[in-house]
Amino acid sequence: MRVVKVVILVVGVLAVIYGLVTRGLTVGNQVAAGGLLLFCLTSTSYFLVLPVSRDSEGKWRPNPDFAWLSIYLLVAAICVGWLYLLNR
Amino acid sequence: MVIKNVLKGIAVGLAVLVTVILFLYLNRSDPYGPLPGKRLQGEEVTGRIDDWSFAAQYRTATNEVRPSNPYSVYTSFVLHDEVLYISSGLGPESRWVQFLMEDPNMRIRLGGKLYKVRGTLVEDPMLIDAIHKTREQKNPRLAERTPQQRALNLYFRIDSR
Repeated sequence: MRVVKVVILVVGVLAVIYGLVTRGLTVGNQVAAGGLLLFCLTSTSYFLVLPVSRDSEGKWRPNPDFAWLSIYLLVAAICVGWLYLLNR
Repeated sequence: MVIKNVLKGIAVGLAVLVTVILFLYLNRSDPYGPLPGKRLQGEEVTGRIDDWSFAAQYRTATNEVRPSNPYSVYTSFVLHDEVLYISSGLGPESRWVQFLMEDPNMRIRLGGKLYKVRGTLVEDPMLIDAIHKTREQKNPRLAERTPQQRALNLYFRIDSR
């Protein structure tokens, strides 16, 4: 499973690079948007945590990984909106 | 663990990128590709323009509609009998067309200069046909359009105000 996730991440990165090289830095670059979406969704799987959790003493503590999860979810949501607007 | 650290670094980069793009988007004036802009910048020309033939030197125009909350887009235009017409290839579905139908007052930018104008929908079928022909003479590829695609084209006559 680890290898599969890394492969998907690499495919996402390659799609972004391919999109930028072949179509340039344009709003209509669907390949780059799709690659970024794939990369972000796969990345979220590395940081799947709740915002807070109990520690060994039973106290509520914030999970720092939730910040990284939020960033990737936000970028993934932007990519979904971006692709939707380009294809509606 | 290594991958997680790399992903954290990339996340920081993405967060900075999203912030910069958001800042640029919120402070934009010109449209960017299909993204509409806001109030256009440029030297505003006063005085009435009756002969728009000087516009032939430009490839596209930038329209700013809805004066209360400016919305600007790039559009194609056509000169027919010295009169300027802007066109919408998406018909009445286009947002700028809807705004222009609600309020015909707009500004048009040609070559860095802004003109205060009024856009009036052309409804005369003979004039629409003549404008189509003028466009197709200038760009023969447009003649390959299907009648349905052709019918989607709306034209607005541009007059100084």
